[in-house]
Amino acid sequence: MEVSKDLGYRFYNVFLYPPDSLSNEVRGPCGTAQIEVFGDKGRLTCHTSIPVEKLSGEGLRYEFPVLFCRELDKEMFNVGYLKTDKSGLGEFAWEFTTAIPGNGGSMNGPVTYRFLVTTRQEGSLDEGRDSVILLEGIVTLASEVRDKRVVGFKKEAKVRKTDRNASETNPLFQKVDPFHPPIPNTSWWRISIQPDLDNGSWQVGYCPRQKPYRAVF
Amino acid sequence: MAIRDIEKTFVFPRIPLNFELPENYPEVGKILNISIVPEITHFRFGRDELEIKGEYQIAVSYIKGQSDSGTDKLENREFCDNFFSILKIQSNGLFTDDEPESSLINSKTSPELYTVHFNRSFHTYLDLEVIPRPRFFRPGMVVERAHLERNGGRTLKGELVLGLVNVARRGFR
Repeated sequence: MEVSKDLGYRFYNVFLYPPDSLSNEVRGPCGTAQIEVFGDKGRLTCHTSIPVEKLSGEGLRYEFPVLFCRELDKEMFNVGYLKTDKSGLGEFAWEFTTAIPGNGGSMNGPVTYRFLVTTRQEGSLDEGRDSVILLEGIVTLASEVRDKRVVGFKKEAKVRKTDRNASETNPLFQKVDPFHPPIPNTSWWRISIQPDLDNGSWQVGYCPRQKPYRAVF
Repeated sequence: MAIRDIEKTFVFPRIPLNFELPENYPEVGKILNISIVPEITHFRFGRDELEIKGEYQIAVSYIKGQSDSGTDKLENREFCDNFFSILKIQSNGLFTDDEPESSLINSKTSPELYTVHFNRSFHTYLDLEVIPRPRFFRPGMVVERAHLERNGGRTLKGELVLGLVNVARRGFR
């Protein structure tokens, strides 16, 4: 029996290194990230093989931001936090969706990502300072990834017109200030009675005998 | 359905991996990532066994090793005690640093990646007792575990564990 080949299953194993040790060969990987992509769904699990505090040199800390950086335009986005367990080893899991060509993906074809475990958020991450990056790995995925987590929409605040504002704009009722200096605790209104010029000052009446028609008196 | 919910019907014994780099590729320094795409090309249900034929493609991305040149540079630096002796005068009169840029600049920018592809085929038979309902079974191959490390300069060794899943179920994908 022939099997269709478009199952779209891919498995990636990304080895994570401290950024300064990429050029020296002695140290092995300090962690791995496994990425499984099945069709348009994906899952990333990551764990470190040495305590994260050893890398950061800081004291006790439980959460480290994990960033994905697109290599092409250096766009970064936070995908979650690496959390340390009692022994100090870090663990992280993230579920995502991938942009399938023809499914509205902005970029078709393989995309190279840099996987970063940092001590700071993406906003304050300075390119020139490597000390904030604890671990990094590079992976080329078959398509662009998107975060599956629900993101709240920004609600626009509804500006409600109060009745008071509406009455101020009404030309027939105008608030006036006739006295100088103004008399306290009083408000003055000019109420105008204007002829209805659109209907030629005629009053529209009602004829009881011929219901559909309107009579003019 | 999330990926972690995929139920593996059977996990195959681990496959030892031994790869040798093609001639025109440089030596392996550090393996950055491996990607594996297992595919079943043919399957056939027999009387009491399931025959599966397929292949898996492994792509390995790595950075070039620089062991030999690195030691040479260190020796040179120890030898010349005069700092200015490593500066050379260019034709336009400017000094250039004789120190190669690789040690300084390459660490900052992204390193040069080399990717090698390997294709291996598999052909195996599976007892039907393992599969709960063979009539509703369509085999799919996933990776349970994979590891690869460098073994000397030009060879890679590691292991691969494949798992069998049912892709006939509705809502699987």
